[in-house]
Amino acid sequence: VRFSHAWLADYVVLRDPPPEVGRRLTAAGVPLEGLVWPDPADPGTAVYDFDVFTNRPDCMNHQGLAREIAALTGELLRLPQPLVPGGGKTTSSVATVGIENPEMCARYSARCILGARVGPSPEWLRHRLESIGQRSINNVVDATNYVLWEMGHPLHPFDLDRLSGRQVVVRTARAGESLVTLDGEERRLDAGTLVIADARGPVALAGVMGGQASEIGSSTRNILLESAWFDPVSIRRTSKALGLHTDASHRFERGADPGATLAALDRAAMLVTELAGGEVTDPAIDQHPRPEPPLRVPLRPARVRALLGIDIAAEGARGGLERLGFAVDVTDPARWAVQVPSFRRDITREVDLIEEIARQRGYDAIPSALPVAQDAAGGRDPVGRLDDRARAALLAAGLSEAVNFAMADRDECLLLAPETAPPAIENPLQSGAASLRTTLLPGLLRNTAHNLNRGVSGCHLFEVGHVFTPAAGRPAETLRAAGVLAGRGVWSHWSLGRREVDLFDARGAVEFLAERLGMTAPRFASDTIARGAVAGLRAVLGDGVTGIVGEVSPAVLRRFEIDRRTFVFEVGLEGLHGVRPPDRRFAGLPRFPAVRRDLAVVVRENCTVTAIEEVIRGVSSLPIAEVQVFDRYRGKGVEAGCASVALQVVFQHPERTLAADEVQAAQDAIVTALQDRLGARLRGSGPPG
Amino acid sequence: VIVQERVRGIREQFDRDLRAAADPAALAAVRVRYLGRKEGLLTLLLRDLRDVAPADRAIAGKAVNDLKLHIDSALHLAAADLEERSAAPVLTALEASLPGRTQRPGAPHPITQVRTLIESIFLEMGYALESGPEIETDYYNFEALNIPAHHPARDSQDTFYVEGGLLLRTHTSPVQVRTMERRPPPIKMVAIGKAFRRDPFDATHSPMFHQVEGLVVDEGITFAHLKGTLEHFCRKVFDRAVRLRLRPSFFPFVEPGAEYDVSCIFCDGRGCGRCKGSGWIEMGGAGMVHPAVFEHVGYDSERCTGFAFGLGIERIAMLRHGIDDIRLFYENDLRFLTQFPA
Repeated sequence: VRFSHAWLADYVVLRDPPPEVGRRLTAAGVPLEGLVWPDPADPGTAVYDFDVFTNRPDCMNHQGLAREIAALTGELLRLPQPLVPGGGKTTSSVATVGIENPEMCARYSARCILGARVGPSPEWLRHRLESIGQRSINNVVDATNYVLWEMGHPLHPFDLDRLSGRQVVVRTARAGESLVTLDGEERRLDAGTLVIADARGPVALAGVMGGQASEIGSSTRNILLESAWFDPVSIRRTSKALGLHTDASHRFERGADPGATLAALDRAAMLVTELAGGEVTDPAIDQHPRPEPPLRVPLRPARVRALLGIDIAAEGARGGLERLGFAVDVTDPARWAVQVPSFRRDITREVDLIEEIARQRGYDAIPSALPVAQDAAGGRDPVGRLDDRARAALLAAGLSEAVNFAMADRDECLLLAPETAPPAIENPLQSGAASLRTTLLPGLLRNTAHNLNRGVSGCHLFEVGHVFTPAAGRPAETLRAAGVLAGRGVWSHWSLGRREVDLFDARGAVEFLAERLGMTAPRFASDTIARGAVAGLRAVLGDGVTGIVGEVSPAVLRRFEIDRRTFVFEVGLEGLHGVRPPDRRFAGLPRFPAVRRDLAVVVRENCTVTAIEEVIRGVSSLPIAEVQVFDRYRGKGVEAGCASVALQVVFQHPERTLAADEVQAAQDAIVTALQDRLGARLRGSGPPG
Repeated sequence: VIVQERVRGIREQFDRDLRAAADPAALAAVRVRYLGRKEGLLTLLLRDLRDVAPADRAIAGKAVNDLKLHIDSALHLAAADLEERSAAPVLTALEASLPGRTQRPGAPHPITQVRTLIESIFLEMGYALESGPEIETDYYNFEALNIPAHHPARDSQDTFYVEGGLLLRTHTSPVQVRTMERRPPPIKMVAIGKAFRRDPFDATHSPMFHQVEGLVVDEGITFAHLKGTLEHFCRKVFDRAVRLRLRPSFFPFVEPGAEYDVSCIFCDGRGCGRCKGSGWIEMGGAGMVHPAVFEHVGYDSERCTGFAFGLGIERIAMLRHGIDDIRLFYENDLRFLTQFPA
């Protein structure tokens, strides 16, 4: 909101230079956003831009802000006291006012000006309005506008002769009524919209904007000036419904001063006669169906201390409140009674008064201390949070972390998670972000396209975050970890040669994640996922913890404009919430040496490593510490449809050293069993049976 | 006496000979010349010690012994030194210049890093980490925080609505309400999470962002405790002795309400481009919990008082790393992410 230094100086002596005025008001809760001071020799040329908070409509005008300044500096506040001369016609003899909806219009004051001449405003008025960014229209409209920026109360002038029946009625619109507003728009009115109507129909949107038909024009002679108080909620509804935000609605929806209608009316009426001539009717019409008794709020000095942590000097606090317009009764020193001025609608309870005191003292006057409160639920969780544990594992696996929006494209979600209907956002910013994500993969695939397109040679990303799935009542938010790998391999070194990522990089990340989350025996099964969008493996990592690992189909890659083979994984972690990872128990270190034997067996491609390992462990007469695959070979010497798998078997006995012949016997038994049960043969011997 | 003079002479001569010995052969010759079993100068000197009068023998013997120790040790060091200098290099220059092999972990997102830092600061102070849903009801997001329907304060929090009469939380403040509903005071909590506002995506706005919410409630909590806590936090998070400034402000769920600033971390408050010459950097909002909020959760607002504060994670990350465009956080460009290894 813009303020003129010269205008403020009409009501309070300003001894400080403009920047200091801005600094003091900022410290008191009216922050300075901008200051234009074209002639440093003349403070009167300065124009301030203050950010007035929504709870302080009383400060959105020069007199209100001057009151704040006077309260801070101790200077006197001088406000003009317009006097309307009597003796002419009474207002009620030339116009009538009715209020049908007093719950939305607590007060309606009006006067008429008869025989005015509408014309351009004088230089001083135009200059003042223009200095704060307002446009001069004509002397009558400018007078009401001036009073808005001076006193803060929105007024509206009607051409009295264009009001059918010379009457105004405050009522809600009836079905089918419409109105052409001052901006030339024809507006269809919802039943319930508060309007000002004459005998024929609506002539103004109450508190928002006037109608074109009763607008003040050059031919206007007789004027009805409206100074009313409208209910904030009603004004806000109308303003929102019609998308019409005006200086008047801005103030009414924040709460105008019901006690100011007459003063503003008188000020505007005298200004109009000063500028445009004419006679003011007297007395005014003042319909006040819902007068509010002044609000009295108790204030306990002990409570000030309890909230601010400082002792307040009683006299200072009281004087400060009084300078702001409060009436303070200290008959009971432990419980003051403070009467709130009608322009401070933000003050409704004791704590509001305490803020006033703190504001005036300045927050700098309050000391610093650390609280001693202890929260039994506080401190570091020794287990760590699930999402952080998942993050740590995937970082260690060499993937970098991505963070993507929860808002996602519906089609992309359905492509990668066809079984789940994404919850809809009713008012999305763009159609491509009109759903809540049901999978983390679309975001990661977008990131992949972004990176590859910019020449990043290997894209290795993961995200840990929520997805949203439809559920009874409200969409469920469940935690997932997902990753994407494309291009160059995760670990690169000159000694390793160039390698592109493959399925095993993605699977390795999932296996490591599972291990770090305490799931010791993940199982994988070959599958086609999301109707072919991903080809790979379905994973069961533990109780209720499942996921997918695989290669993204060419069709999906085209959709995301990715031109490299791309591998993804996604794991639901929700089943692990609140599950402690298993305690790691110490197993005694082996005291006797292990014996390692390598076996290369040729098996058909439909055989699994799991099955081979089960046979080995199942038939061995000696304890086996470990079975590890160290090679897989296809090609010369191995027939089509088969592969050679090389395993190292580690025999180790807890109580004795193994003899060479017993190890050989165990190995022979294993080979025989692999032949018998899996049709495997040792590499270098005949074809598998 | 004569022995001692001979000791001095032999020692000087030895030192000269040793300095002159540039290769193993010369060093071996020096060794023979002084320690040779028959003609070695030291060997001869030891033999002559027998002729010294018994009264002088102790002193002369010590001098000869010291000389022997000196020669032994000097020969040893000289041999080691020669060996070192003559050793062939293990690596060629090319090999010595090739990079080593390791497995580098990925880079955590800068937002995660700031979140972790802030969490650890509050965990050290005994705060509890709380969380709440990202999809919220009007009640938790607005109503219980003293922002009734049709309140103009809702204008600044343009909201995404989700089917079923729900919304994406516009701030992390609903976690305050949920936590107080769940347990009685004393409460000392922080919640860090995502928030959503229907703002266009540009250099300074993002429709999704991350917020920190803090809440302390107990008997006897005052505005002074709010100041002390924010001061401590800001100093920790910037690792500098920044100054704190609070200015009155308006948030419906606190009263008195404030915005807090820290002295500019780039110019120490003198005024620079980063703080637009003001010397201060805006951090967030704070204040004493409004009694209406306590009434919503069934706390006795006469018995307990509390403070709440909030701030944006992106803002802290941007300040710490000199990032000038908030969109970079959500592009997930690896050339960006890998600039912030943990």
